[in-house]
Order: sequence, then structure tokens, then C-alpha cells
Amino acid sequence: MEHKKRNKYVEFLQDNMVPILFTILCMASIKISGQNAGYVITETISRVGRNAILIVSLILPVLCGMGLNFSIVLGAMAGEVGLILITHWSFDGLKGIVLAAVIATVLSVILGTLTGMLFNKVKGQEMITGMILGFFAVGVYDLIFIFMVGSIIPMVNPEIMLNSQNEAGETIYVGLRNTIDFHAETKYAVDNAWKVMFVKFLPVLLGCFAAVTAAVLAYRIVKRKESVKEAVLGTKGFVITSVLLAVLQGMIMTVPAVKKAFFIVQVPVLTGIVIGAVCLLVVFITKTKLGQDIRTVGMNMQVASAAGIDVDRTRIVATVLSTVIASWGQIIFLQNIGNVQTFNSHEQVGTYAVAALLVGGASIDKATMGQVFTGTVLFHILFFMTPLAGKVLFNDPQLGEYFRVFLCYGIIAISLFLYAWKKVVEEKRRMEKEYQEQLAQLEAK
Amino acid sequence: MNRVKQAIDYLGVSRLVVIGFLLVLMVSVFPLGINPGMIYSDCLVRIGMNGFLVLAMMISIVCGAGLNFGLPIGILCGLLGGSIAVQFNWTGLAGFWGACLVSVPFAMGAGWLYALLLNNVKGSEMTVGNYMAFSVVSLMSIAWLVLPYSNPKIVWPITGVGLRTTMTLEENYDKVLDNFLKIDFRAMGIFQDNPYWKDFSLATGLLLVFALGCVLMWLFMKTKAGIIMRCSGVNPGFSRTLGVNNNQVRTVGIIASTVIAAIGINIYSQSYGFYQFYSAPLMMAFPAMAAILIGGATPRKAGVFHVVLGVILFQSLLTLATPVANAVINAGSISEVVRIIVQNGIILYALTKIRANGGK
Repeated sequence: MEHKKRNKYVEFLQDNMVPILFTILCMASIKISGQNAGYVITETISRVGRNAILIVSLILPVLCGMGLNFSIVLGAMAGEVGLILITHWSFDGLKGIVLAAVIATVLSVILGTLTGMLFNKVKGQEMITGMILGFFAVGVYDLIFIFMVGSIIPMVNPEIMLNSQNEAGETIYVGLRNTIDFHAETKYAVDNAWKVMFVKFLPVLLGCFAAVTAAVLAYRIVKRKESVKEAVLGTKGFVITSVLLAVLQGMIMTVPAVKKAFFIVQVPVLTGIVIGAVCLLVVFITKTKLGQDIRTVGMNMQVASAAGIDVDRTRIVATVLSTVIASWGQIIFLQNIGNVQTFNSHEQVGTYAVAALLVGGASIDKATMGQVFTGTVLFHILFFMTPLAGKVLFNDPQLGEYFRVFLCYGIIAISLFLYAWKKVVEEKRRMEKEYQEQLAQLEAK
Repeated sequence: MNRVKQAIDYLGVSRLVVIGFLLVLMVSVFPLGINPGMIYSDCLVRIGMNGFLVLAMMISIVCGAGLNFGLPIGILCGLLGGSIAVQFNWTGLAGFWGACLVSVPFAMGAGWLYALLLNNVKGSEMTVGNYMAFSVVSLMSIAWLVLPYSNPKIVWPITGVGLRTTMTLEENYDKVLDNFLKIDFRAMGIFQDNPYWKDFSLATGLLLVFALGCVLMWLFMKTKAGIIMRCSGVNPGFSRTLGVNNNQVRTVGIIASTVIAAIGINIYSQSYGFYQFYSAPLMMAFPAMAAILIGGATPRKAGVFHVVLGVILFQSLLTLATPVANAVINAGSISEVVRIIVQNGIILYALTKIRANGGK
């Protein structure tokens, strides 16, 4: 019994090695940088708020066995196009953002379908294809928005376009500016729509979570007649979140230092609701027939095909959903920033999102909501803390900057390596087993 | 007639279209009033500059490791050797070859480790190699900052530590290969009354080195080791039954690729006049990849002919496109954007042709 328990402990450590390691790194860099807790919490909440959806968008392709979808860059571009258009039309405020989301959805359904069709041609190499596709799309995007807008695509808007003189001496507008500022009402429209102080918001959140958890537990125990233990294990995510929130609430009420740290923090409730809705949507999809198909395809394409699932179509649907969610994510991200760097905002979207997901403990073929949020929090704390820590340690923020880029690529490289290695070893083992069986058969004859 | 048909079949229609387009560009230089002598010389220099990096791509394909997304690893070794050479103020041709020589042991070590990695992830070499290279580039960015360089010419002026992002070779070996046996019409005073050709020059040394590299590679492919490598790359299962140690062959191929890339970046930099550090090597694998693919190679099969044709086509297209595009539509950096689209489009197209693991 004793032995078994320890094994379990070691197993837990092994399974969660990456998040644990990154938690330590985060703690260390917070400690070294010497920033106060209020700043760290405010910054973290704002960064998690703007990045969460982009990372959620990666889940479905992972479940579908297509690996990490680096081509969410295309979705991000679709979101940017939506936002640029509403700025061009001066269709501002929340309704503008909704319109931008609609435009982005339409665009990303088209782009996602094309991506999915491409991915079906390169089964097994989706990740590298997705990455190159991202570069390719950046080229096409630049071509359209530097050269075609204003010359081939009729559009005149001095506010967002570059002006130049043609040979006749008239002022012409060709190409978008490098930075496009959103109008005052569009800036932070979702974030500022409903802001609440964290200390007041927490009890409500806690209440909601407790109520939902209780409801689900009751449903499982009473209706499905599961034992208490089974039910609790089945709703692990809800239970853990509720307990953590309750602990936090308790600490705020009893420890003055914690209360002080959280006192200035404000929560953008509408952004939270949007994030929650997208997460629920993804969870809901995984519970439907479509979600089952996606999982089956992810486990084994041949089996799925034999079971009558249209493998290619399922993969395209997963890609489209991922692209659409990414486009919404980029809209939330940019309204929080307040402007769009027309030609740079989308450049690193894929890399950062993938790295964050992996930091949360996901792998190439497995990702959960919990990992998304753990990863987002850890990655983004590290992301804004390392330059500060580097400045204190080496008197050189540049070093921290390079360190975080290294972490980003390094975590992706190691995850990819471990996954590929595992696959090769499994294949080898399977071959050996088959070989042994054949030998045994021959001997039996 | 039959011979023509054979040649067309060998080149393939898409390649002929590219060649035709290149010819159009080359001719269009004359009516557009661009100095043809100068632009053709630029084309030749660019071909020589990039040739070795494309050769490095080739041997990796031949040995069965596919497109070498890990080319930046070799490039970093070359930069390390180069920065050591400049640190100790090596100059002239000897200095340049010294830099190459210093890079080689680093490249062999790194190449061996990289081969070890790739042999454990067969089937996913491209994805793993790519991100491994990216992370090594960013790790080396830290290294450039903390390594004990002390030559005031190459470290940041105020703090005195860490390499500068670009390091000029003016006082070391800037263009030593280009100027070796250089044929320069202006300096030699011939064709000076011809408006088209008066600025033409031929970077003989640079092209000679590239030619030498190609010949050596071609000869190697004819040796027993070369034939084993080709066989192992095309059909590893069959080779194993012949008693070939595939992993060993791949290791040799990847080490060779890394070493050639290390020498290649030194050749590139002496012609360019600068070493570029930090994030510069990140994207350097992609033009080399596009070049060999445009030359007719596939991620499974490549030859010296593909390297030569590819680098001539790709680099001449890029060099010619900028002035021609500017003369025709006057639109600034359009050729840079088109380069990104063409380069990645070619790689994407090639990827759709592989069916990894035979599509199983």
C-alpha cells in the first residue's frame, strides 16, 4: 500500500513535470524582478483575458490527431480584416466588434476549409505545413494590404491608408498604414463594457461554480446512480476550480496582504463571459456526435474510416472550427491592445499560442481545458516577467527577451521531439511483437 | 526532335515555364533602361553566395533525412567560426579559409548531435528539426551576448560586451573570393564604349569555389559511399536487406550537410560583407529549400544538377525581379513580398507531394 501510494505520487510528478517546472520558473522570476503582487495579478488577468481564446482554438485539431495547428495565423488575419473594415466604415463600439466577428467568421470559414483541404493532402506533416502555410499567408496578406488596397481594390481613407503622389501630382492612397488605431469607442469595447472589482466579483464567481458543481454532482449521483467517488472524479475540473476559488476567497477575507494585492484588480466581465462561452462551445462540441467523430479520427484514421466516418470531412470541420475560434480570439486580443500592427500583429500568434498550450502540460495528441488555462497563466507570467528579471539579474533586458524566445521555441521543440520519439519507439515495439508472434507461429507449425 | 522532347521531359513543364519567365526578365532589362552588365554580375554573385547552402540541402535529401530544416544549426557553427576569426583579426584569403576551418569541428559536433536527434524521430524530421533549429538559434542569441568576445570592433560600443547584430568584414576578408581572379570590364578597360556591358564583372573566385563544391559532390555521388547513400535514402528497407546501416549513412549525410552549411555561410558572408547574428539565421533554410525544389528536386530525390539549376533560377529571379518590378509598376518592396509568396508556395507544393510515411 505504502509503495503504491508513492508510485502514484511519482506518477503525478512525472505527468505534470512541465507545468510544475514552469511554476517554479515563474515564482523565481517574480521573486527576482521584485515587482509587487498587485502589478503581477493585474497584468496576468489582462494577458490571460486577451490570449485565452487563441489558445482554446488549438484544442480541436489536437483531438483530431492533426497536432498543433500553427495555421491559426490565418484565423488571426481574418479577425484583423474584420477590425480594419469596421474602422474603415467607422462602425464603432460593441456592435462594430460584433460585425467584425461576423466578417471574420465568414472569412475564416473559407480560409479554414482551404487549410483543411491542404492538410488532408499532407497527413502526418500538418504541423510543418501549417507553419509554412502561415508564412505563405503572411506574404499574400502583405501583397493585398500593401499593394492592392487602393490600386486594384477601390478604397480611399486617409485615416488608415498611406498617401503618395502620382505622376500627375494628385494625391493617391495605396496600402494600409503600419499601425491602425481603433476609434475611441471600439478600443477596449469588450473589456470596458462591464468592469467589476475582483474582490466583489469573486463571491459571485464562486457561487456560480459551486452551484454548477453541485448540480452536476447531484445529477450524476441521483439520476445516473453513480457512487460519490465516481461522480467527483467525473467532474474533477469543476470540483477543483470551485475548491481553488473558495481557498482564494478565504485568503482574501483573512490575510490582509492578499486582500491588498487583489484590491486594485478589476475584471472585464464581458470578456470573461465571451471566453467562458467559447470554452463551453468547445466542450459542447466534444460531447456531440461530431466530437466523437473527431476523437475517433484522432485515435486512428483507418478505424474511423471503417466505422463509416468521413475522415477528410471531419478533419476539415475541425480545422474550420479552429480557424474561426482563432479569428474571434484575435479580435478580443486586439480590442484589448487598442490598435492593430497591420503587418506584425499576426506574425507570432501561432508560436505563442502553441507554446502556452504546451507549457500547460498538453502534448501533440492530448489537450484539455485545464491545460489551456494553466498554460496561459504560466506562459504569460513568464512572458512579461523574464525581461524584468533579466534586467535585475544581468542589467540587460535583452537577455531576458532572448531567454523567453528560447523558452518558447525550446518547449515546442522538446514536446515535438518527445512525441515523435514515443511514436517511433511504439512502432518498433509493435514490429518486434509481430515478429515474435510470427516466429512462434512458425515454430508451432 | 527526339532529343528536344527528351530534354523537355527531363526538365518538366513547370521548370520550363520558370526558365521562360527568367529569360523574359533577362531580356526586359534592355528596353527598361536597367544597366544589364551590373544586374547580370549581381545575379552571378548571388548564385555563388547561395550555392553552398543549397548543396547542404541536397546531401540531406540524398541521405534520406528529407529537407533539412535544421540548416540554421550549421549556419550558427559557421558564424561561430567566423566570429572567432574576426576576434583575432584574421585577414585575407588565409583568414577566410581559417574561419571555415575553425567552423568545421563545431559543425561536425553539432551535426552529429543533430543526426542523433533525427535518427530517433524518423518520419517527423522536418517538424522536429525546424523547431530544434529555432530554439538553437535563440539559445545562441543568448550566447552571442555572453561569450567573452573582446575585440572592440565587434562588441557593442558602450557596454563592451556581446556581439553586434551585424559585424563588418571590411578589414578582414570582405569579398576575398569575389575579387580572386576577378574579371572586371571597367578595371580592365575593355568594352568601355559599350553602354550595356561596361559595368559587367565576373566574381571568378566565388563561382570557382561553387563549381568545385559541385564537382566534388558529383564525384562523391559516384563513389561507393555515395551510391550506398543514395540507395539508403531512396529505399531504406531495401538497403537494410543489403546490409547497409541506414542510421550510419544518415548520420554521415547530416554531418556533411551541417559542415557544408557552416562553410556556406562563411562564403555567403564574405560576399555580403557582413556576418549577421541573433535572429538572422532563423529563416535562412527556406530560400535554400525553395531553390533546390525549383531546380526539380523532391523531398526524396535530389542531384547536383537540381542544385545548380535551382540556385541559378531562384537567385536570378530574385535579383532581376526587384529592379524590373520597380521599373514597371514602381511599387517599392513588392518583389520582397512576392519572394515570400513564391518561396513558401514552392515549399508548400513540395510538401503536398510527399505523403509522409507513404501516406499510411
